[in-house]
Amino acid sequence: MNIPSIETERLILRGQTAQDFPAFAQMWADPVVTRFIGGVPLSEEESWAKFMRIAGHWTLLGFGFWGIFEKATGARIGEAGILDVKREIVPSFHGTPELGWGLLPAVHGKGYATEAVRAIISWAENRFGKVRMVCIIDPDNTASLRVAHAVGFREYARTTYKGDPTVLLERVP
Amino acid sequence: MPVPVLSTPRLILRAHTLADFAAYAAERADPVVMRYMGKGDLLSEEEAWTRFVGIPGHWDLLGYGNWAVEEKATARRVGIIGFTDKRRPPEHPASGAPEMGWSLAAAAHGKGYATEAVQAALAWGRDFFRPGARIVCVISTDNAASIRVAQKCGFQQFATASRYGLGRLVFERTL
Repeated sequence: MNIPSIETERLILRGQTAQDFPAFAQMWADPVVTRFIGGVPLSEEESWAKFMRIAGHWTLLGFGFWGIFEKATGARIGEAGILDVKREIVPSFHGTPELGWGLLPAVHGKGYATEAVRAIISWAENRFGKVRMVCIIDPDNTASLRVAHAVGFREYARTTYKGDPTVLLERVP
Repeated sequence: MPVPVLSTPRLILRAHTLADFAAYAAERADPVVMRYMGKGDLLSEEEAWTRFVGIPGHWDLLGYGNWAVEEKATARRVGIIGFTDKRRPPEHPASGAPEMGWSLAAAAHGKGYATEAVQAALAWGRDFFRPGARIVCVISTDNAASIRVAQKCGFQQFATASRYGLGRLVFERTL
């Protein structure tokens, strides 16, 4: 599957190849990154399974997650995209495009996540039309909640997912 | 990357598509199929999807992976077979070589399908990985049917391992 690239002012979002895996695995082995996503740093084996899922998601569905690269340095600084993971979550949002993002702690606070997610929302609106989108965020993850609000998401429910409290947010066009 | 199509007398090995997910998820929720896999737990639809999505990704990233096994007579998907790189930790005896795996829907057990599919995949692997390449497979100690398939297809046990406190036999062969 040819994954389209997206360019923003300071970032390149593109599909990832096996060469990007070491940076990916390093990110997911960082407890600061996993604190609000899954809760536990990933082993190389677990990261590899996740990395393959990202590629396969594009092949099966034609949308998915991009690697985020900083133009100034070329470094991989995170990932973001649109996913369908058939979450068994109540209330269900099955079939609604879900957005997600995660950036390295070293680049937090620069507005990169907001810049990437804005670009992805534009891409998603081209792909799906002006539809409702959702995201789920840990209630203690204030940085990510700020990003969600900045791009137009609003809380519509709170629930527990895989044992953790979770905020459900929606973006209604 | 385009997944190659392999043909045997009774089976076709081909890429998984979205339409195969229902059959895959049904298999992963069947206690007969799951008895010797992982902890033996049945997978929810969400868990099955998580694994299913990784299948085409493996082909995209590495040029090899798992095929869907389709029964020619019925055109139904009856299982999965292929080679994977699981990036197991270096201390695991199966690390460092492509790992073969297979699993068939309960209705397709006992027909010799696994052996037929493994042999076709091995022939493909010999060209892809190079003649003489070493490959491995990991099978639960109690999974007599799969152990028989491995032995028939030229695998020899060389180590043991354990996962989730359950015994595993580790086999190898060269292509």
